[in-house]
Amino acid sequence: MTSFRRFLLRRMLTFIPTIVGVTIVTFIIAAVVPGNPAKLWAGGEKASPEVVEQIIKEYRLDRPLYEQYVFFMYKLLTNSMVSPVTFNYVWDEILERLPVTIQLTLFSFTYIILLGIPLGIISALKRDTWIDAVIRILALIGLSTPIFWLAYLLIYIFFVKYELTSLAGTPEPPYSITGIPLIDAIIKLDLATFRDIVYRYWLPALTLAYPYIGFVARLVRNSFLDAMSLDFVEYMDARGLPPTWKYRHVLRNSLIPVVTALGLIFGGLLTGAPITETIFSLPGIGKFLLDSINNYDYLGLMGGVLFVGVIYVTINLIVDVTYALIDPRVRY
Amino acid sequence: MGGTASRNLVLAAIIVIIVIAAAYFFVFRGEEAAPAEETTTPAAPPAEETTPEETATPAKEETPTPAPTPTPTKTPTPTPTETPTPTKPAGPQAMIIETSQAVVVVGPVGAQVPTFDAKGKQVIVVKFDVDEKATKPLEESTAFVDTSPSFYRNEYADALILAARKIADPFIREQLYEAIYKLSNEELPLFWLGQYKVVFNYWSWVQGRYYHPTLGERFDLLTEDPNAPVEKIGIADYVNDANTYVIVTFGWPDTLDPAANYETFGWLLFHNTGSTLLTFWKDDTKNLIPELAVAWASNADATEFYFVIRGGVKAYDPWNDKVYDVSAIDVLFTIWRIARLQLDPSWMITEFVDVNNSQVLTEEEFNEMLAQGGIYASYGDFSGEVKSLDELLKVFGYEGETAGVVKIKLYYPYAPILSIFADPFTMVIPMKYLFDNVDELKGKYEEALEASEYGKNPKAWEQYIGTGANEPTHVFLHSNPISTGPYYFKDIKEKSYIILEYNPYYWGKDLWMKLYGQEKPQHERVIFVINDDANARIQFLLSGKADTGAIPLDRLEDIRGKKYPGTDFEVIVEERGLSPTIVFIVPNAMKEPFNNKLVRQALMYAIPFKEIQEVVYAGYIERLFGVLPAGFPGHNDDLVTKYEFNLQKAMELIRQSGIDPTKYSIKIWYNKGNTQREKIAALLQTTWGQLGFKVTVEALEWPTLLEKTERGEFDVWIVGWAPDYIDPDNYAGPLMYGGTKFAILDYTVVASAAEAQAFFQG
Repeated sequence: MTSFRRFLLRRMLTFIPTIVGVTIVTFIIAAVVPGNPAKLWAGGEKASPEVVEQIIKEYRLDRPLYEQYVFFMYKLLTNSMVSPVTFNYVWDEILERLPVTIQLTLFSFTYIILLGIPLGIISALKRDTWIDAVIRILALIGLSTPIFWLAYLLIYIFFVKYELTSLAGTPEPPYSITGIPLIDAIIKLDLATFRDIVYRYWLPALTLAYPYIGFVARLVRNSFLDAMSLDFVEYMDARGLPPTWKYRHVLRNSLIPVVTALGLIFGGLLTGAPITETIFSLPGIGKFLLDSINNYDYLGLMGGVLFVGVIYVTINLIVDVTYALIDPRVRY
Repeated sequence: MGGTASRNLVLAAIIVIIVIAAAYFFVFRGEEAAPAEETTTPAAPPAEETTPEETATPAKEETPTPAPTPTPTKTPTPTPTETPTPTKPAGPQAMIIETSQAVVVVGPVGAQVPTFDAKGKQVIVVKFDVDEKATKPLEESTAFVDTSPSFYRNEYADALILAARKIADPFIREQLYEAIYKLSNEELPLFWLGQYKVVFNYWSWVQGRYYHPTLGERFDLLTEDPNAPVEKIGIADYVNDANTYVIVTFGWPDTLDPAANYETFGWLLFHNTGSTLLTFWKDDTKNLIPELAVAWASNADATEFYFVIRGGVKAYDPWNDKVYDVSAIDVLFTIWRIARLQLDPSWMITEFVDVNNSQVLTEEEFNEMLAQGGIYASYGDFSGEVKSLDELLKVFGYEGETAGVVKIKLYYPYAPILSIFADPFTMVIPMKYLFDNVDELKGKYEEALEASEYGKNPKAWEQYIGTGANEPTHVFLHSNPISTGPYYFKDIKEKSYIILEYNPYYWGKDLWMKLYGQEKPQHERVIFVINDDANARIQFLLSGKADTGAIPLDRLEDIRGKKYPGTDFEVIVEERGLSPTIVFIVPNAMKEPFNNKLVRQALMYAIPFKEIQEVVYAGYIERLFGVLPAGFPGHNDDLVTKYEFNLQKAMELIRQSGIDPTKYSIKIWYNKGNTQREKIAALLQTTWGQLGFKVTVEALEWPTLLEKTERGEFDVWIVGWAPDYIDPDNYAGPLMYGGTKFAILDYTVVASAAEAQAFFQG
């Protein structure tokens, strides 16, 4: 256990340089674009020189790069400066958008787990049958379908033809416990709101999840088959143990790569899905990052990247820790 | 176009070329004077002579022609005669430009006026003396600000632009703008390309739509067929029915603080949730009508304006369900705050209004000032001095109560200032609302009022209100807008939707009574649904959940005529005249070869407009030949050359210019991601390449492009312009004014050439 604690500490310490590194790289990439963003922030070609001057002063764009970086990071971490483009405090805006992204993530993740893993197992069990072939082809299609095309197709079927979903707004109950409507509605057992949320999110989440379902199904299948070919399986067969018992062990052995992948997928979903969010008009983190990039909004972009960085590093840590829970051989 | 007409056109064009060529020849090589006689204006502007001012200005690389050779477009006389004058005229020459109803003569003090026949028209004479010291060298100027985007400078044009800016008389202004328009067509400081067409799309159950270029529509003036279908929108329980107007659109207003907002989405919202001093009725762009100002007047030289403020106006704060009274102090505070914040649109105030010397007057004080005389009003049929407040109110036909008077002090006479006070970013914000809600200001309202001596000394507010994007009142108002207009913000979900509901405290409910017989408009609420994906917007509109939407031009055919199931209602797509948004190409007039007028004209002839119109804009653009778009005073296409695509003529002009096109490589820039400009650049690459130039096309990041072009480090780039307020000066100023400063700039109206000459000597 002391070694585990040391491991945790070591991992925590690598957090800081990773996050700092990510923000420095982002800042440099944003700042080396030749040309001063102040004029753009002040209204483009129509900007008046006084306004541009004011912005340069206020955001210290006339200072050396390292000073700008430190200034921006300080203002960002203390949440004490509005973005020059959106005029919002960056964390306020990220927090405002987070519920949308979290709900989209939860729905998508549910699809991935409920569909991806069983399909992979079925595929492995029915290896080289037509069922396996169908699942593998579907997985391949999922992986190679452009998401916007799939989105338009699904919108046409489920919004235009059958009106089984909505494309505007995001349902919000009048109460707030965790700040995430879906979870709040479940806690309060508020069926009406829950229904509204499902009605709004099921389609974009499916669109977003579709490629991942294919990916996870293939991963589970291969991993399951690998585990099936291990010696202990033969031994269990030889002992005449019931298949369910055998499959439990096989599943556990095949889970390590799957858990890694699922963890990263979850982290990836949490950092936003720009295309899905744009098409379905769900203003989440992905759209926020995209807009920040398009508007040359340094402050917003750095805030967004900082957030994404923290999520990624944290999820990675959690995944590493779960290894030990799944596989007792893993020691730190 | 008939055969004879086109033959005439070709003939006219040939004449133009010969006249230009002759002018050019004499300017560059001719030591002997030879004013070319030109054909529309009987009096020839001497196409010759370097004026002292011009030689003194090192930055001026422009062909030193004081006179444009006004181009005959409808020339009845096909004889291009260049009569050499026997004697070389001494001193600078005046330029003569014939407009539709006047002859404009412009020149430096002491200029020689060539004889001309005024043909009974009025002669408007503008004389100037360039202030060399105050004029910034072009290299140090900033595009759109101190000089035109192409760094073109011509003191004759500059004198006309500044004169027109300061003259209030509509007739003289219009004639001056015609002269400016003609010059912009002849000199081509920019390659004018086109003016967008306005295209509306909406379900046929919507009635009464109209187009106003800066204000947009007021939704309480639009109606709907009562049988319009009822569709759930998807936001809470809202439905799109006959009492709800739903717009599916993209983007998001920059900010809901009017003082910082400089884009159309925000202005549309403020037009519907706010009241400004003056406004336009529906699509009228000519006659300003009272809104919060029930009457206005100015002193004789139009440097001080007085606005009598409407009484009984309430502002509604929906977030705390509170109501505020609006008075003259709030009006002054609003305008003062725009200047103080120094955010995006502030220049429209700071450039012209001396906010710290503006103040609030009581009705009595104002009445006394009126009695002393020297204050004039002009409204409807009335124009003249007014001697009392009652008389002034009578001129404006107002009988209700008033809430004080605001005196606005200008730095110099600026006729379009009234039009600026109709812009939605000037919507009035009650001062107390900010002092009640912003932490830094709580409890200081009375103190701030007293410090300013109740509006006599607004500068005192500087200790309460700061500057910049992080200023507390700005940060507060950014997400807590207040209403003084027909609607208020009921719900805002950033990047998702905006819900407006009719304002029960609106001061103008009489209008609703008149239109609908009830104390509310038919559109009780207006919902903006945001979706940044065009395909999704189209589906949303076609489902009937929206009444209208922002649909890309090249997708309009996908929605036109689509029916609502089970009814006769269909989607209407229709053109509604011309928008004042223009597109043009910017050549760098400081640089070779663009400093040569003939080359500019050649390149203009080599723009394949028909193709651009069809390929790039799906037909939704109209040709533009000068700086002023149709619909603005001064735009008159009977006066100008219509540069039809003609490569031969372009070649001929290049030959006459004496340059070798193969020696020049031209880089055309556009901002990355703008596919329309990308296509235009590609077309120009082909046609200009055929003239012999080496043309390359490059996409730049927007900030890079802005920075390089504002300093003049470019060959050619493509950009557009939309008006900030309804006045031709908002085009001529930023797009053509070269930055010349004048020590003397004066004008008069006379009847003959001799009188004009006398004015220059006097």
